[in-house]
Amino acid sequence: MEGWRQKNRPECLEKRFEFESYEKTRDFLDSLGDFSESVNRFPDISFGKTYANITIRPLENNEKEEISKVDHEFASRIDLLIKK
Amino acid sequence: MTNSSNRRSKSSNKIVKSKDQVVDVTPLNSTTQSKTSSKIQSSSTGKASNTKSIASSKNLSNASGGAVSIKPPIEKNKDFESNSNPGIALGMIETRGLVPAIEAADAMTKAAEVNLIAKELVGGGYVTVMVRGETGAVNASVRAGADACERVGDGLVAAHIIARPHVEVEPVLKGSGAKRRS
Repeated sequence: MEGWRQKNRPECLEKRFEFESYEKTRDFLDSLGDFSESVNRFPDISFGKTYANITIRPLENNEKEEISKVDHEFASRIDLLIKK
Repeated sequence: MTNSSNRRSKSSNKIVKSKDQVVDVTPLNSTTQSKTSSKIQSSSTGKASNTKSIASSKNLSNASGGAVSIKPPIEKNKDFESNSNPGIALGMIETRGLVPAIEAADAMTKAAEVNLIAKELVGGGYVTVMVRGETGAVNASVRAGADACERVGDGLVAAHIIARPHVEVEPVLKGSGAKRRS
């Protein structure tokens, strides 16, 4: 979970991914999209040509609306998409 | 004899000719989620009382200043038949220039089942296009739109996807109707 920052009010996990070109950015976003579809969980995404900011918010069924271990695991799996 | 408009029509396999198909286009209600209330009437006699025939191309905004979107024929939009809430995720693409914005809007609406809710001229030559729909659809749609406009003109400035916008944001998600900004 390297590079992820946990923010408060509202709680979320954020990370900025940098890429050399738009093609690499798009490849990552495609991988993230496929992964999100498979686990039915979609983070907020903000991207440009050479970067992508990913924001993970607590799940809807999380009554406390706090970042939990499940969210950290989701972030770790997103990191694995880069290493592939 | 008028045919009642019925979005739950069972004639899903029947091809409706464009000349017989009329679509009511109504402005989006800012207090509600982006949900268009288009009614589709099939007129066998060709008469229409208070409807407009809309060209197949989708409009980005109307003259009165509201944002409109036109839904595809029923047979291509069955998901909305039983779901009065078509999706809440929000996707936005900002481009520099109108041409890449139109390219992005076209690609977004072709890529997935989303509604084009607004095109906004924000000044300085920047144009923002917004879509709403199911989260997965918006995700795929924005990626496709960014891919399309990145090659056009000055291309992509920024793209953003919000899976669950807060309800307080809803009033902001409509076009201002501005036609030109310096």
